[in-house]
Amino acid sequence: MIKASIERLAQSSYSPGKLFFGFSIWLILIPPISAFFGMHYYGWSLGISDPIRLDFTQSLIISIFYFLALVVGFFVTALTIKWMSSVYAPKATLKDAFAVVTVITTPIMLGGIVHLYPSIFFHVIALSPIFALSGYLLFASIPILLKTDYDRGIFMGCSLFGFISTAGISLLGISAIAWVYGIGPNLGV
Amino acid sequence: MNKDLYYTDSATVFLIFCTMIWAIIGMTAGAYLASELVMPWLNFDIAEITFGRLRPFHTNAVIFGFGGSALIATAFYTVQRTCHVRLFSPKLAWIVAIGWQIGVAVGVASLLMGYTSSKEYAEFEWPVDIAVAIVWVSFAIVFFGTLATRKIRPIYVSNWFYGALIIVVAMLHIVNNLAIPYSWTQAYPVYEGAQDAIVQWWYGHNAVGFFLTAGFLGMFYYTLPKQADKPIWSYRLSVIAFWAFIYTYIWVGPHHLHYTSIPDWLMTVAMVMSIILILPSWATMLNAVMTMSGAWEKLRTDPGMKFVVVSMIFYALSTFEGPMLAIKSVNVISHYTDWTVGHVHSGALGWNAFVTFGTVYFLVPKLLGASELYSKRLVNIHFWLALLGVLIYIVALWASGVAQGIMNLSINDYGQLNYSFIDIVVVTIPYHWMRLAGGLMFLFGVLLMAYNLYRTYAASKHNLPVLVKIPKVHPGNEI
Amino acid sequence: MLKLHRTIESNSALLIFGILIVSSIGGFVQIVPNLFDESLHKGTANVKPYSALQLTGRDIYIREGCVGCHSQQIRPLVAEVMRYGEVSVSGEHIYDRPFLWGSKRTGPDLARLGGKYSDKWHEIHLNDPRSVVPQSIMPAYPWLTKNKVNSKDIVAKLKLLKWYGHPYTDAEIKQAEQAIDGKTELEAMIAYLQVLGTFR
Repeated sequence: MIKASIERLAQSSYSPGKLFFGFSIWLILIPPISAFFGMHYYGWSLGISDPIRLDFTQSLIISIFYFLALVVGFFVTALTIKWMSSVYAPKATLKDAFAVVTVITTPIMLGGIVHLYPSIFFHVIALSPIFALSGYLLFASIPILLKTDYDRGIFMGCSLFGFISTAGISLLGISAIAWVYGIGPNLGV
Repeated sequence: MNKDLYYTDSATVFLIFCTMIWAIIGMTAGAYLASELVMPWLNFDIAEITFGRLRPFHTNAVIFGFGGSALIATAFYTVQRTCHVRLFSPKLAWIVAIGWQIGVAVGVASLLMGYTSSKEYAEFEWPVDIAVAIVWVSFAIVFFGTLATRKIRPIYVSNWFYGALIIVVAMLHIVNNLAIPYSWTQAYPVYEGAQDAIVQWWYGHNAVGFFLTAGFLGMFYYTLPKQADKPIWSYRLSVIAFWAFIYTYIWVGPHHLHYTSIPDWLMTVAMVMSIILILPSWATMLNAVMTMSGAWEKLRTDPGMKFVVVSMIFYALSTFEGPMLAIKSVNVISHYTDWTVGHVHSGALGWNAFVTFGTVYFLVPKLLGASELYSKRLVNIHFWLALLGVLIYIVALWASGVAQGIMNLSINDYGQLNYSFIDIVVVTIPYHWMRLAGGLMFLFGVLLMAYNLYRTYAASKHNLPVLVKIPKVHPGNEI
Repeated sequence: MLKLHRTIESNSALLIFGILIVSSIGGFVQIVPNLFDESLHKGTANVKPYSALQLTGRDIYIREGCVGCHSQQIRPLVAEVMRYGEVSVSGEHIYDRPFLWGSKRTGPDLARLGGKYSDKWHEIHLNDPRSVVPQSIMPAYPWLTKNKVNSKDIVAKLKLLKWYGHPYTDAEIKQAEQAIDGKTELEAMIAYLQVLGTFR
């Protein structure tokens, strides 16, 4: 069923702009908006005692930066796919690259709704299957959307997996730096 | 029969057997430690298995037992193939192989008995240190003796890395373990306090750098082109990356001592060098990725290949995460927490163990003269267990580490601490259950591998000893 | 450049030499100047060498691998000073051979533990941590109460440390064996834990 929908996407005619502004941008809004409400009204729960609630401005700033980071991440991933495709999928165009990012980010962005209940443990439990689904979509969509063979697709999937997880870690690192410099929870540093 | 016309691999076969034994021992100890963290009653009030004594047992058994045996085994195998010559003194090679096992076995047993110098990854006491140093020098003699008697002029890139491993680890081991004994078993180090800390983390980080990275890159630079059946993508890049790597790595130790009472300039230099270290690491990664390109179908046909491919992903990930954690502002959060432990395991399991598994699956049929492994299906199951296991492990410890880091520093609106220390302990427990589950999956995969290799051995032991004739050197490349 | 490298990689002696030089620079710069950096080796006003009993306790702390879960280093961060006490300085550690700063806090930092709890508390806690901190995950150390300390090495230990420059008097060394004879390992351990952090 999933493969069939990916193939339908591959055959349909669409422009990257239409795909992004008509579809992805709305999805990308889900995590920051959920994060805003979660952080401000419920607060981050680390697993014990009261959650750490952030005030309105802090929550807003973090949500805006989060949104920007996701948009930038979206485009950078698409460009990276185009860049990698010179080795793995010579027939792919930038439009195809956008399609791949759209496919793999859809579950993650929808899953962003878990930010409404910002508990670290809940996030780990709820997001793990979502990322596993995205991982599957990554390997399933590359051969179809980028018009390359199965074997090369696996290699490209691995490279992209490495790229995306590195990006994920750097997001964690950037957050840590932000916390230390006073954006987010109140830390005594 | 003229023996000099054939390679000698008996020590390698023995060492690969030991690699698997150590993997099982070391990782079982690791799983037991993870269990002790969630079920402290598992310490059973028995001194030898309490967390404090079992932890260095685990680290030394996996690094020096599992990692060391794998490195020596592959070094012996690779140096012959890339030099077109039989090992220099196969007898000494056997002494190295057995001596290493005895040294590490006695060492880890003595740790359980409480004989420890307490310096991380250098816990062995002075008698074991000396024994290990003698074995290591013998290893150097075999290795460099083989290089010196080689029939082919250029020294292959794998051997630069193995050479760096041997030389630098010898230097680190000797300098860091300088101590004067006060009894037949124990000693006090010549360095004190802050100086001891600086020397220890110079050693500690480069044990990672040269044992777990340079050595394994040597293994990798042989296995990958062989598996892919293609030469290294860029020779020039491998030259630059090698020298940049060994120059830069040695500087970064003090990033383990951020914000401690050592001079500030040391921390700053270490932080800058750590970030620079991304370049040679990623250059190597790029070289590997491009070498694999074109060998597309190998992923399906060669059972070990997927381990090597995935090891590259974790190599890239860990060599990025490491420098990131070396940034002082990130380190404020991450230091002393599970984040560091997770980082170490993403490198040690995801990179070191994966590349070792790939290499062993690749070498064993060749060493046994078998056409293929007993079961490719078991290799596949092992692969997925290991991959899922390590992912669960590091995700759990990211979450746990971030929670610990924030809770340690979090203060409320009145300027008071938000959490007591025991709160931090309690919060980590669910994540520690998760990491235990991930670790057990990884361990179970290793057991499947051991069974698979055993069946391969049982089916083809009549082939032993396998004689491989040394091929002729390409004209123009003779020494 | 590559030509030079062709020479290096064709000659194993050159290769060994090259690796040795290139890999020594960083360590040399980081370790050697610090050997002569007075500020790193100068003690604080209050620093004293460990007594025979404290030193014995310290060696038990090492033997049991306590350093695997407990750091002894307070970083200059507001929250950390609030949680544990004054920032650690290098001068407190000049009689620490080996250093025990640690790298992981599965348990709390112990740099300023001395005087925080009574001897009795430590006795109960070491024998059964969960009787005083119900959620604790620390192992129990009941054998410390049962075992008598090993007094036969203490003179050799102190003599060696004196040779290293720790200011022990001859009288202290002579009486060392007597001072710890018959004590339990628990007493030695508590003596060490109670002196932690009092050197600043």
